[in-house]
Amino acid sequence: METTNNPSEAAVDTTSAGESTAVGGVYTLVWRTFKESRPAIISLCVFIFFLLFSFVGPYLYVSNQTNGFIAGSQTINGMAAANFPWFHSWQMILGGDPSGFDIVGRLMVGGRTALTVGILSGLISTFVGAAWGAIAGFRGKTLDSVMMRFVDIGLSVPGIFLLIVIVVLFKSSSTTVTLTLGLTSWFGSARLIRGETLSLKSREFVSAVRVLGGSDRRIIFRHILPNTVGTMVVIGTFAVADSILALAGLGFIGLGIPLPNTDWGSMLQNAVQYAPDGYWWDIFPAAICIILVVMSLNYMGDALRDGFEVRLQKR
Amino acid sequence: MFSYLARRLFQGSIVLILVILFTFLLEHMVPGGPAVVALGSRANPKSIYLYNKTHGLLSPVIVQFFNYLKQVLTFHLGTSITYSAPVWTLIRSALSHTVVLVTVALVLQFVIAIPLGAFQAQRRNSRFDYIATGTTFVLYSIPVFLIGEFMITLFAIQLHWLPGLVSQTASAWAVFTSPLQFLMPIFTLTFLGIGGLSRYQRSSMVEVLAQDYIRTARAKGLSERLVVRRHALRNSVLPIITIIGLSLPALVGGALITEYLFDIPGMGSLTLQAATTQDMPVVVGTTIVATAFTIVGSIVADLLYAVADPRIRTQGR
Repeated sequence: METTNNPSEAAVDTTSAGESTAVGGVYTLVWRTFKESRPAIISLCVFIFFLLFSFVGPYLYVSNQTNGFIAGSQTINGMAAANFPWFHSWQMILGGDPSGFDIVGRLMVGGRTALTVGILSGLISTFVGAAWGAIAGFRGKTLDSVMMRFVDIGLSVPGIFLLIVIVVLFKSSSTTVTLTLGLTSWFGSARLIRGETLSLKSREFVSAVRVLGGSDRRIIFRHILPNTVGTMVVIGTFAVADSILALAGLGFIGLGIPLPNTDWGSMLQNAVQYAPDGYWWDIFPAAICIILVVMSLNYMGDALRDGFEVRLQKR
Repeated sequence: MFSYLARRLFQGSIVLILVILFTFLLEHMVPGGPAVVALGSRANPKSIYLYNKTHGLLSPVIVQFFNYLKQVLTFHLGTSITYSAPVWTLIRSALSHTVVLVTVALVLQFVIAIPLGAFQAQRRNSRFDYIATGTTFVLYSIPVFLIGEFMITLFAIQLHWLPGLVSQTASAWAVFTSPLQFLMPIFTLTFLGIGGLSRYQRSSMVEVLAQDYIRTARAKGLSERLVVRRHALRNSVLPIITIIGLSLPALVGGALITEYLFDIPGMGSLTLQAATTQDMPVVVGTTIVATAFTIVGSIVADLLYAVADPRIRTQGR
């Protein structure tokens, strides 16, 4: 098939070929809808800012984030660094946390945890859910109903309780939390992908592959799943947001990533304990970070859904 | 109808048994097994052996599981390590707080979200619709504990209007007798679901308003109010009822954080206290009971759906 630079033609071509030789065209089309939404573009900038802030920031803005003793004993302008107020000194622009760590640097450490855990568990949840849903939907019959009953079960368990059980048993760490969040949140995506698989499997390109002797596995993983990429991207974006929220919640109830590492929820929990004593500003930095990142992901997910729906309409 | 209920109950009990199995396996997956969980990683082999012997942990795992299952299903959830009291006694006194909190918040969510979403759909693409969509979207992105924390900071610490914590001696029904102290926790939990629910209600209502029977109702000269109330609203609420069951796990999880935030002596606070003291029997017990509560809740939601939708009610008659 001849590749074309015209996005709308390319989109039409993908559908007739079934396979994604002109994926770039589809993405151009999605991007066109995406960039029309101002909130989505702002969100993308916010999200990229937080990525840079958390992963590149620590190299540009160096601060002690490991030694609590040094942090607790330092002074700024004759005042203790612990609970140092925000906007009082250029040395610690957002002030110090209750242990004396610089809050800007602390936010970077917390952001690294939040984004790593969020993105990885979002990926796990999306891919496990997609594979599960596609296999169930494609095979159908008994296997489908057994697999989907399992999904119903997963959807009816309050996840935070399981998370607490696991954190108490296996100790809180980025790995434990990532795996638990990823492996307990894929049920919704399995449902969505199954629905899409049901409609895809009756399409001609699937019969074509079968006639050519392609195995079920090949059809599912090489032909059906690539065609659900739109749904997967949207689900994935929301899954990352949900994971970041869940991690923040876990930190807030005191079961977050332990020192010297931290996460935004744990920072909040630290701050909240000192809020009644008048250190109310401690709450805001981490709170604002959580809200901005989650909101930007939700807005992007929304815009992506609109974008991919336009593509679906053109089918 | 009856067979439907029976099937749901059967399905629910399978879910419960699987969750029990899952927590049971998790405890056995810890290096050293439940004994190390209970006694700590520095316990000496002799005390581990004695613990295993007294708790029947020397028999094969499968036998242990069925013994455990039998105990759990008869409400013998073990003994709390920190309180030295039966776990079920602790849970029973905490459960009512959670159930009342969740139920009140759930009802409030519907009372607020359904008119809001319906009104938005009626005035689609108006300024009100945009503002409401924007606000609910922001609400949807703010974690529940931040809403609660902001409320505490504003109303309790800065303005001194409302008490920041709930009285520890109050019974679960104090929500109705002295509602002031429960105002913040209940609204914290209510806000958790409004964003999502009002969006569903809005799109459901938009869909219904485009139906032929709405045009018929208008064509026969009914007033707009009647069209909306009798024909549109009732039909648009139906799919929302099914969402109750799906939103319950998140609500129960939100209740856990809300209870922690406002110091309500419910299941969530109990779980978290137990989590910080490594009191595994309590953590596992509350997990199982919370799951059971969620399952019962979603079955009730399905029954409500049948009550509301005559097509389902009369099925199989």
